[in-house]
Amino acid sequence: MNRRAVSFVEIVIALGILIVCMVPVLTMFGSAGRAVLKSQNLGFAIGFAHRISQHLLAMPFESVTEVPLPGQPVADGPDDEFFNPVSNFGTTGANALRITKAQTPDLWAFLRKYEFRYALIVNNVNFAAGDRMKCVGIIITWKEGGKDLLYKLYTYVPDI
Amino acid sequence: MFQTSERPKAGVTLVELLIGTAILAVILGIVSRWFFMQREYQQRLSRVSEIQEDFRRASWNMIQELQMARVIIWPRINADKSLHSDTKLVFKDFNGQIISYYHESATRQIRRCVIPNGPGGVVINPRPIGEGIASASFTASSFDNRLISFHLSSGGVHALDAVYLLNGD
Repeated sequence: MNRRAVSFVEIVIALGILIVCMVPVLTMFGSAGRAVLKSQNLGFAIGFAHRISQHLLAMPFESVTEVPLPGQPVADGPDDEFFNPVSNFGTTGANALRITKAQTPDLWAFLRKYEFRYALIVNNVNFAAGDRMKCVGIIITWKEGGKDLLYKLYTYVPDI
Repeated sequence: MFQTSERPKAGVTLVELLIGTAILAVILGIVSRWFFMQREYQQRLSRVSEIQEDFRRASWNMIQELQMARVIIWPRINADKSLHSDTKLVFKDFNGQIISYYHESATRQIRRCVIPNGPGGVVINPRPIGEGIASASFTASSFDNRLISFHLSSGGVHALDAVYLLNGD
């Protein structure tokens, strides 16, 4: 019986095949992770848009104005009634905390990492004579894996 | 006379075997390191996903009740008209009951209780309205005490949301 052993070239080829087979299995982990990450940021953006929509209802009608794209950054953003100041555990305005590296480092790092921004598209609408209402498109944008992502929510703000 | 003619046997030499083993070891080393890194990453993502689910549940529970409430009792805007935050929220619900949400950092829970208007003790709900929340703050954001913003956070994950009370007192 002619017993033939494996040659060195065969071992190398076998290893090559093994690596080629393992690559798709390993990349599967990466794509599952990206899906979770995407859902995390989308969930965050939905909360953001809802927060803005609720704040709009409490604002004076004339103060509801357009914030054009590319929008206002949330981290290191200006005092805007939506996000900054974000909290205040003191009894005067001097204690108010803003989303900055110095005051809320954890939240700031997250928002900066994905470059969360918001924009407002405002249109006057009226359903009946004498109505004063604004249709506000709330646009939340962020960056993820080099891509620009967007979440959009429309809300109506009446003049009460 | 006999002549012995032996054909050379094809096979691996020790050196080839050693080289093959070394290559395999290097590849396995790289792959296993990558595998463990991925596993750690997956575990982290799984934790983030769970935290988000906790946030969603807590936000939903609070928003459902708060948007039908009548007025925020605590926290209130500061005297200089600046925002005011607390880890407790007290409000009057649609039926006139006084309700409080408060964060317990030891148990990482948001609890709900009913504060009696007259005599009697505070009734704490047996089930928390939010779990797995490391910190929670409620911020009074409008002069008419109808807008409350909240910030939940846990393990580097955050939720910023707000509720505007639809019913005035």
